[in-house]
Amino acid sequence: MWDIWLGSFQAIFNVTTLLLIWGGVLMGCLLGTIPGLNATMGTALLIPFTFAMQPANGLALLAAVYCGGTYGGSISAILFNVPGAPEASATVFDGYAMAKKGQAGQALGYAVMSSCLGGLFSVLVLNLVAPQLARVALTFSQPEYFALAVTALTLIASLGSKGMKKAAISGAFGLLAATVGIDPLTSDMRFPFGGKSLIGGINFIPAIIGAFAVGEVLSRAETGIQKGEVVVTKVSTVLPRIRDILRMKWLMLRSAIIGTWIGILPGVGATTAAFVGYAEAVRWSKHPEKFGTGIPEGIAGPETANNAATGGAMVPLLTLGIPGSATTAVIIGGFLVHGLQPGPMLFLNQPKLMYSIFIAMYLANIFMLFAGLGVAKVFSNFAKVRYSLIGPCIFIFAAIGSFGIRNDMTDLWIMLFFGVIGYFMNKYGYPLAPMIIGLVLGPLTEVSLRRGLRMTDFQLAPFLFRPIAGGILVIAMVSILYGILKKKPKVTGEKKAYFTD
Amino acid sequence: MFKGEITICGIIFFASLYLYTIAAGYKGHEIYGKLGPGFWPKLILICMMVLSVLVAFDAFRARKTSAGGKGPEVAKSAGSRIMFFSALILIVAYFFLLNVIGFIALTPFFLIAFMVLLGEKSWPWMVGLSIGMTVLIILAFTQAMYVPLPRGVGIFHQFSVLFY
Repeated sequence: MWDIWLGSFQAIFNVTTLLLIWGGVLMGCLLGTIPGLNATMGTALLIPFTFAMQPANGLALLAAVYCGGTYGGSISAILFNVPGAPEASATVFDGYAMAKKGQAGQALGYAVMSSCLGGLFSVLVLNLVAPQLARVALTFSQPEYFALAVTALTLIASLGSKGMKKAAISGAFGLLAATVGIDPLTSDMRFPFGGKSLIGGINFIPAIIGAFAVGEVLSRAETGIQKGEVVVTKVSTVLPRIRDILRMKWLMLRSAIIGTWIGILPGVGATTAAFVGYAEAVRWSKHPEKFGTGIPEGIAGPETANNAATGGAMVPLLTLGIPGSATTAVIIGGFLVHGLQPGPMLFLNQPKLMYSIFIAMYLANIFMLFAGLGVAKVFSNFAKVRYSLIGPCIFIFAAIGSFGIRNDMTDLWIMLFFGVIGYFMNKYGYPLAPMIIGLVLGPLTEVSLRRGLRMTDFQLAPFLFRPIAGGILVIAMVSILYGILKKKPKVTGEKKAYFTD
Repeated sequence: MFKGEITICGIIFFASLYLYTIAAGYKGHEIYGKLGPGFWPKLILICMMVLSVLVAFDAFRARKTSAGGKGPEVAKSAGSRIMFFSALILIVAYFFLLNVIGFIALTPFFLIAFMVLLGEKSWPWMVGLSIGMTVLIILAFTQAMYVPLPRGVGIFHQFSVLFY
């Protein structure tokens, strides 16, 4: 065990890797700050670059962008009343109110400190839980994998989207796209559309880059450039004192547990965690009426929870190969470009790599604390850069990044196709995340179902009588029912004004 | 918006139906019993057809409950549609020309055109950023990652050889 840790330390504690983690945190913060850009897009754009790196370096970079991006959204949420990323939506309520009171620096300080602590807590959980869970996962057979894949898909459909039916269509489209190419069991060609370019299937990375980056650029081309209301331009982060942190210790611990747990659930991401963290902070507060008026608890609650979700979301990814969020779905691409398949076998075959990821995430969360001290001012200037300048640059990076995977023009067309699909999905309220998860989980779902049915003599019922597979499928059913029965949260006061705006 | 919703649902339904007819033809390799190569795509396509009908039904229901107030949105969508298609045509043209003109000669002009399309007015920024981005990508991809970017043909090929 110690030699694994030692090897992982050696893989991470060198100048190159540390600089990559530091750069990843900064880049994540930057992307998170700018509305329309986020950690998911950032990781998607970076995957082609990681191809040229050692796997540990590449994955450390992606993990750092993920952590930084989740925090970065709070900067523009606090300074401009515009959440840079959906995860920071709940931070707007009290963050912007504090900024309006002239306490933007303090608000940023609470945000970065809570994000750091939440993130560290969740990585600790990841560190402790993941190896044990991976051991259990090694006993899984085809029905269990099928059940897991179904659970991930149904959780997305029921919780991570605006409408369940549209999310289901989105997921189904992803699953369908994953069937293009040679059938993994019979080697028959499916949906070649008259050419040979799609024999190998739809390349996952151009599809992701297209859906997120190009779709967003096309959407912005259509809607035009909108400027956020800027009330604070010069600001430097003021970290809270230790006694202020201790005052909120139970709130932070509660939010960290909530965030980590929600992150672990496949398909439910940091946004849900942030809102639940905020709601629980209000529920347990002695002064719930003060929330929304600009109090630190209103920042610490959602920020601890949303960053805790990052480590949580890595648990199913690293142990089962099932993404816990849209960004972790993209991070799978980071494994695939190095010929690695995330899952329990990776813990067995590449334990040093897995522990390197843990260490990188610890460091990313610590670096984030230092980054937050000085960079909010710089980032607030970046946030003012016109999209008419940034948009084309993002596109060209996306295009050349997609091309660079195989030096094949087909990937550019795949990127554009998914970009157009992503644009229409954005426009008509079809969430993108289920499509990506469908694309990622498609091969696993299909192969495990078909092989599992063969094992059970083409009967689906025996799947339910296997304890683990049956239990997981019951969770899937419950999540579907929850999605159908859940009610929209009540929104009042300042929050109502925010949503209305 | 309603028209768009219904159109999207229609496209999903009929595209799924078309693909279903293709998938129904994948009948080879019965060694896997009932689960040939068409089994999984057909299952997904049936789900998509059913779901598209349900979404269309929801759109009809939503239209009944909410009335009026769509005039300005229609006016806005006509102009924005032109913007969208212009961006799309620009991108398609860029992809087609990439193998002819090459990355280095084409990209700065493409970036400037895209920036103008998005409403940028500052020429120093546009020229500086487009050249800067092209140089950055060439350095990152050809020097660090050894990705051979498209060089174009003829004189453009010779021009690109000067740089990478």
